[in-house]
Amino acid sequence: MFRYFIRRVLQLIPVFFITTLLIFLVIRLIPGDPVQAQFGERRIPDTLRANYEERYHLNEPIFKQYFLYMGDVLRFDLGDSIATQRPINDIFREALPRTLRLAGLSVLFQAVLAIPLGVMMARKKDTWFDNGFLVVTLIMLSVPPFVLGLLAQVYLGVKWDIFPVQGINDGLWSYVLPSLVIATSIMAVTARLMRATLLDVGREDFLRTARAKGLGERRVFAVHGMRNAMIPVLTVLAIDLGALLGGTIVTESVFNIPGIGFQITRAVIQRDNTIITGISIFLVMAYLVINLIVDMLYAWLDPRIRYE
Amino acid sequence: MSDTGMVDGRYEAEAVGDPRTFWNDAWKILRKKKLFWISGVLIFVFVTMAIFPAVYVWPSPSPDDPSGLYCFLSDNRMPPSAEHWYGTDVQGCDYFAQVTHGARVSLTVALFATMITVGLGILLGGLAGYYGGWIDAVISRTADGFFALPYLVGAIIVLSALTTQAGRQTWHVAVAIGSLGWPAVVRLYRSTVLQVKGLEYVQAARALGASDFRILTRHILPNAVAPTLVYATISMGSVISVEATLSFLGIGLPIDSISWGIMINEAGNKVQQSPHLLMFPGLYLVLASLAFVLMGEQLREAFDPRFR
Repeated sequence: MFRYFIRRVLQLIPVFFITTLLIFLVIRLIPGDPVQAQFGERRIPDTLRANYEERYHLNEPIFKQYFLYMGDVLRFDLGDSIATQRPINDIFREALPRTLRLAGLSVLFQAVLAIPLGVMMARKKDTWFDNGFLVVTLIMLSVPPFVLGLLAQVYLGVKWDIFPVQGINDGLWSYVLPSLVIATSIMAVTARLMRATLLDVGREDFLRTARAKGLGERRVFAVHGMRNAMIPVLTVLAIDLGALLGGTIVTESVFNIPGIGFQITRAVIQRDNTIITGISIFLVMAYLVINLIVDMLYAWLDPRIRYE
Repeated sequence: MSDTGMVDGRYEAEAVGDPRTFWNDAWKILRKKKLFWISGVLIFVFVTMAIFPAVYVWPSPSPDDPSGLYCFLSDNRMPPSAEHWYGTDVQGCDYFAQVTHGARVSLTVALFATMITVGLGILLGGLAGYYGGWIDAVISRTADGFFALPYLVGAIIVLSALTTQAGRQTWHVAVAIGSLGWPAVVRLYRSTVLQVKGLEYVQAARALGASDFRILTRHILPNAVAPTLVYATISMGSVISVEATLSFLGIGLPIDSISWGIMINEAGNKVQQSPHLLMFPGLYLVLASLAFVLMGEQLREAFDPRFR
């Protein structure tokens, strides 16, 4: 197990550096002068410009800039916003818990809705229930979250007044409707996967063995079938959590939740390049770490993987 | 159709003398599927709408007739009526005409983005699978890196890099979306190449002195056409949705383009009073995206021998 862990970590390192280098290069190559962008049409005094260039290492060659920046990142310092001079770590401390609440609730709702649906579909394979929901899940996949979000906001929020319309002033309750919207738009994949893996597992020899031993159908299904079918589903749920840290952008914008997505949209409009870089690199790290944890979980649940 | 009283598809094929090829078999499966015909008709409608919008809407003969493309500010935000089937927008323009004309930019972006994605994916996946070694390592690790970046965040980064003082253009959006989707095609195509490259007929071609280029294009590419086509069709559907999302956030298509995402953005705060402003572009968006995803699913089932 430990050797597997070390091997996976070693595989992560090149991916991390390639991704961050790409993000860094693309953002630094954005045409226009990042310092001038903060001052509009006004002329910048030379000393002030020198100050900026010193602080953001803008006067160094680009690869040296990257190494200086990554040195800071590896010490958990994402630098300062070039527009507001605010440390990006502070922005994260404020915005991340909101996005985490939203992403966590979405994954929870998703699991609660999608897993039973997938199980039902697999057990009623090829009936009208199964076929109907196969099409319904495709429709759910095709409705973009912002359309669903706007509809939910107007009907469930404004007209019928069940949920708070926007903002985060109602505590955890204000996150419920946005999370439901996200869960609805991503649960289709999970439900279909649950159905497919359960059907695949149903054909495995160990299920036949379990039946041959004389176990009841309920026990065969719950202990031998579900346990094995859950592995890919758990993976998808965990990956969703990682992807949602950067995937709540649209919902945050519809429901006015000042999380990570809100910060990055604002940064794009204000051309605040240091925030765009900081948030993107953070999201990449989060994704890689979550994937590592998922792989470890996977190896723990299914011993065949470890010894590959 | 030439079925002369024969019921069984295979019997008919032999009787008429059709060769039993891969594509013939796929077509026989496809034409029995209801969802194939439904999505096919939808795609046909949207494609003709994009190329010849005048088939669906035509300018009225006189400016006094408000049913055409003319806009009257005094008629703004009218609900759907016999005169304006989909009502009018904030400028008093016929919303049916607006929504119909929105198909063009959506499908154009989807087509170009998918072409970029598939082209890059086949090129890089072919190189990685065929040559292996360090080429494979560099390409595959870079692909992993792209996977680590949330799709929307990636598109935001590329879009901010492409946008110059002159503003954003339609092709910027297509390039931004297209340059992010290729890693999935690389994985798909690389595995096909790996499967095929050791087979006898490829070795035979090499022994006959065929160049690497010829082997890749004539002997390996045809094997990967079917799965790539499936991926491309589904990708068209998801690109339509991503483009609308970017445009909705205000960081996609230029603000003066006629696009469903921008219409929904403008509808945003008026949904409560004029729900039709959200409903119609939303419906078209969902249908267009669904049509391609459904078609992809049907193609997958027809091409994949496991479903036969």
